[in-house]
Amino acid sequence: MPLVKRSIEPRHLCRGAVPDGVTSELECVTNSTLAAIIKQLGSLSRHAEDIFGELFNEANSFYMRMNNLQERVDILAVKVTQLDSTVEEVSLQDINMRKAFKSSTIQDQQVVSRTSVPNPVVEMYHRCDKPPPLNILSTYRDDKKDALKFYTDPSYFFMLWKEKMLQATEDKRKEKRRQKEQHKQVEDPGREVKKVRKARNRRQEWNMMAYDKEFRPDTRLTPSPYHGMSSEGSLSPDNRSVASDMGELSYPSSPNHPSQPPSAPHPIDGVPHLTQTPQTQSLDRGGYPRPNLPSGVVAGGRHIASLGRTQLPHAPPASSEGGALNGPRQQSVKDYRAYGGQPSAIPEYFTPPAPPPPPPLIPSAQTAFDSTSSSSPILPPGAVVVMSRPYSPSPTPPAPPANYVPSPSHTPSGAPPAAPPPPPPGLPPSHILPLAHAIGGEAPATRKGQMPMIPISDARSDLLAAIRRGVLPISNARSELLAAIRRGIQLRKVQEQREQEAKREPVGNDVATILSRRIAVEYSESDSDSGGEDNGEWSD
Amino acid sequence: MAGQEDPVQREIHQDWANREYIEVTTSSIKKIADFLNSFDMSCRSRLATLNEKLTALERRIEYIEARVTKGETLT
Repeated sequence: MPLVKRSIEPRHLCRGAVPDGVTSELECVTNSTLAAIIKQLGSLSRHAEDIFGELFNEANSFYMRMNNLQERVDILAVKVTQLDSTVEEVSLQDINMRKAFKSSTIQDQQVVSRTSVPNPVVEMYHRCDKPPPLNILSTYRDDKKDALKFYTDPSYFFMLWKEKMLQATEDKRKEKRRQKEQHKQVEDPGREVKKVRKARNRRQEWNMMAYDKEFRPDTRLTPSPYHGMSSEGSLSPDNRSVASDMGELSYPSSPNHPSQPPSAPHPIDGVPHLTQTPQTQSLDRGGYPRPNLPSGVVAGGRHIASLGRTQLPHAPPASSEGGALNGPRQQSVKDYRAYGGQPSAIPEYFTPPAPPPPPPLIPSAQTAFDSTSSSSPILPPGAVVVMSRPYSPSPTPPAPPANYVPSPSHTPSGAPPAAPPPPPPGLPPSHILPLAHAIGGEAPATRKGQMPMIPISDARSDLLAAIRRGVLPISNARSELLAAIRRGIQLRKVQEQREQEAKREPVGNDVATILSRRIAVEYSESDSDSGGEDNGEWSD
Repeated sequence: MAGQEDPVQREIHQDWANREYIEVTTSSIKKIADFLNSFDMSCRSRLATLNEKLTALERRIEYIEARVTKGETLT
């Protein structure tokens, strides 16, 4: 049965009771009936006014819209007459680059809601029985909810649906993130490279879109610049992996070495310094310490070049172990050789040609050992050797290898190797970094003659200070990193709720926005899937 | 007896006349109400048709405006 929107009030005209003490009852009834009729006319006129008001309002809105349209039509008419096909600029690319026309897709929302209830229905609603006043009990609740909502809640179903939709969008987002992480794990090494590529792609796409299909340049050309990048990318992870292997045992000062040369040359006796990262622990591997000139070595140009000469014969056996890294390092050795490895007493700082991932100073240590075996035969593998004398290749090459092999094997045991060959005359003592001593250098240092002890201590203190200065920034950086990580974790815990609330805020009680958000997540998911596949293709 | 009939009869006659008057009045009221309802319904249907035409016109004008004006490019 349809709901009666307007009802004329005195429904029954002559059903009222006849008052007592009236003689002419028929007239009485007639009069009361006529009075009721008048009341009915009154309510009827009220209803009529209401009806006409609603119709008038609707017609008015249409009138306003019509006026707007009329104005727009007038403007368009003027514009069209002004159009001139000769003046109009038309370029083929611009046609495709224009923003596509999208009509306004405004959806009517909240059509049948509390605000759009017609007046007579509102009046009828107010005449109805009210729900029990349970709101009085709201103040006594602990969870601060509206007590009446438990009895009757008009927005219950909408809230239910809204929660469901938001949950669905969140689930889809998490799925997307999981898939992205899976992709990341699968293609880890080239990740940074990939991101850069994606940023470039958009512009390329737009430029492609500017042309029509026939005019687009060959797409096969475009991947070529990326091949180079991928190949470069392949080098770095190898570098990093090897470097990380070697860097495991390195002292914290190793990354600091690049900073050392910029500091004033430590001219102890005006001697060039060779600083090596004390990764010599890895020298324990038998035969590994073939001296490749350390790309991470900081000091000394020509001396290293000169050292490299002796090292070169040992380089080939080492290359098998070193792998790709050693290859470039050997080349660096040769490069320095090309510079003219003339022994010079002038202190020079060696700047490695290759980028220095913490490296394989092990080879440098080895080289130092080989060259300085005369003066410091018992140098522990981790020792950083400072070359202070000109290099004379001829006598030393046979000696160092012989000395060298036993030294690494002996150092782990802590026992100094057998008495080293006496230092060739004229070779000034070499300086050993205190870090090297830390490994076990004390014993060998004491074993050496008194001569090297005195100058070594001076050098040691200076170098120790320098290294400490260098170490601190690194540790500071690490501590800062750790602190930042900790802070990040704490931030998450504290602000989780706030973030959740913030996420929920901008939703708005709009069916259209909620639905559009969910659909957007779904579409972006499908986009990312296809994009991920594309990225996989690109990386291959 | 005729005397008794007259006032009662007159009253009853009068009553019948009154009732007929009332009946006519109420039926007119009903006609007015009926007219109002049908007027309301027809007005609403015509206004809805107008609304449809207006929205169609608005979309067309939007499209024509987009065609005529120089739009923005993507880049």
